[in-house]
Amino acid sequence: MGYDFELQDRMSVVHPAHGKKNFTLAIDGRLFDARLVPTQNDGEFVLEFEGNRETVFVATRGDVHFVHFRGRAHRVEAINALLQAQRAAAPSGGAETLCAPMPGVVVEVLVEEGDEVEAGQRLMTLESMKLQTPIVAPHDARVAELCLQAGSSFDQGAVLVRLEARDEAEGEAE
Amino acid sequence: MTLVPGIEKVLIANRGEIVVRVASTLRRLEIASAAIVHPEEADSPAARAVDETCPIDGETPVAAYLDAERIVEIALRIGADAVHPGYGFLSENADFAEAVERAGIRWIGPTPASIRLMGDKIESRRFVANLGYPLTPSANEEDAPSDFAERAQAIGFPLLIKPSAGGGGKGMQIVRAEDELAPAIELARSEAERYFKDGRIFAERYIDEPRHIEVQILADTHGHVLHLGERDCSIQRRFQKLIEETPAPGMERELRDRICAQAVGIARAAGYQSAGTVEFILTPKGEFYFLEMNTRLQVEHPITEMVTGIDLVEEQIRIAAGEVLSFVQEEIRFEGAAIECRICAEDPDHDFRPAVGPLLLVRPADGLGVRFDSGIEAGQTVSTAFDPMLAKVIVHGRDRNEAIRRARDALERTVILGCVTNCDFLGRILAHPEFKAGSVDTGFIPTHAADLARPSMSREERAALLAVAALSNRDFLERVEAVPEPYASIGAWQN
Repeated sequence: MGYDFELQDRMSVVHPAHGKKNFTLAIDGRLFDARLVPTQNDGEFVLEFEGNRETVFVATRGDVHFVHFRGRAHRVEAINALLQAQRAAAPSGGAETLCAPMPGVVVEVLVEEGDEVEAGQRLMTLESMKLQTPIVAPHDARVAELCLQAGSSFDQGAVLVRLEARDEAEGEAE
Repeated sequence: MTLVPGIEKVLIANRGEIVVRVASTLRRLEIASAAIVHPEEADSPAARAVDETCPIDGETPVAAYLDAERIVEIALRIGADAVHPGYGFLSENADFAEAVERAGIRWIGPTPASIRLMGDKIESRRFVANLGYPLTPSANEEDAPSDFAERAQAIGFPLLIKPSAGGGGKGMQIVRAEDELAPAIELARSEAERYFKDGRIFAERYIDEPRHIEVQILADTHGHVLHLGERDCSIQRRFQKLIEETPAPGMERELRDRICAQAVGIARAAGYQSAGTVEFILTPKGEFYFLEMNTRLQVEHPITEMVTGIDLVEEQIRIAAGEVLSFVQEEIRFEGAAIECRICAEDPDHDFRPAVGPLLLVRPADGLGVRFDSGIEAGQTVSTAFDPMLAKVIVHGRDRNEAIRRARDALERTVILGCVTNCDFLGRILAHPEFKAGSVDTGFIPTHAADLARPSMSREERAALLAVAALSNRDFLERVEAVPEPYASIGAWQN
């Protein structure tokens, strides 16, 4: 029944444990008194935590909370149950769907939809951080869909190319 | 009438931080300012920093800022007396400088001939070698393309393959063994073509872990050439400078004098005019070699401004207007120490992968001896379309220790939320005992990678952050509201 939060690549569970405003929270099974009091400045709060009062800055986008605390910025993501289920169900990486390892820009696309490609063949060139990275076919396949064009930028995890098995496609062709 | 006779209006042919920077000097000099602005950035601090914005479009935003022909047309149309190119983009493009001058507009920078000579790595190395100054062993592809690989190999490994027209570390490849050579040459050539529209490359001996020392030059059109001291830019990652400081820590006066004198000698021989930077590598043995000259204002120019009190942009404008430098070498005073930290949108804890996202909250650090140069604000989205640098935190202290303390403090007080940045990582570098001791070289980050890794968090700190997140999470709060007696909904955690 608790809420899962991810911080620094680790998950923690937070339960509400008391009242409405002045919460006691159960964090990974330990109880803490915590209150977050807004100030007149945008994004600035006073955190009352275990008897201490400290200034924190918080900005939230959906389920992602960016928190500036004690001189450092942190990213805390609320992982809801639905999302977790989706992550578990998704084929990890999907051998036939090539995704962007990091955000960047497509420098060039070297194949066209419908092309038969061989294992190791370069499909496109990406650029991130001023470094170019080739995207190669992991196995012999046919290019089912090119999801990005040269010049387009993308985020980490964006689908670049969908590949299909050659024989599978044969039946559908013409 | 402005404070610089002959210059009533300046077009800034750039974007982001440097537009804001140049505009602030123009305002002080009572000169009207204009900037080219891509539609994506129509509502940005850069667009608001100038008196007049001139829309410019292109296939990509970057292409727009590189459209020399359109920019000259715009400068003519708005009646600009001069063009300031900033850094990057067209700042070292001699053809653009020439086109500006041909249109009867002043170019705030060196002459096109100087850019051609000193902005080209191969040409400038040849020129400096002819002056009798030492250079690292190298080989040019264009001398004899057929045996370039062999000649490169003859220099000995490790080697560095670089674009001739390059700058800013773009397109450079380190080659440590023979089998890496051919692919590195191919990659360097394609990147050179892509970044600089000039596929020429050259190879030079790679000196492991040298220091990167550069000298700020100012030269007017009346033959006066002087230096504004050196900067140590050794803290780099993948050839991108991250932290720069002046004076160079631990450098003997005699060595500093020799390096600065050589930089002045090179600039004078080249007939250089305007602000420029001569870069050297300094080996652990104290030998130094000419690396290249940057024929423009540098990103890290503010640290020199901090210690000398001289506004480099103002000097560039006055030089372009034909004025004589208003001071001589002996009058330049160097006071205290200054450090610049480049805040970039990247995640140092995940292999420095680029970060993107909307900036939700931006609170610049301020205070005594702190300068925050940026072109960002909350509401803006960081994308990979442009350079990942978001802002520069520049501090000045009476000595290096005070500057380091101020820089750490300023970084801790800089709030940028919504996009992951290297802010904390910069603080870890400044806190490192070897950095404090002044023992810096270009291998600093890889050498101390383990020490610079994200420190573990105390349980209490982790819990506090999770509490903040939970108390800011709408779903979490709604759930609490919905369950009148939260004790009823839990239990699993209770022992």
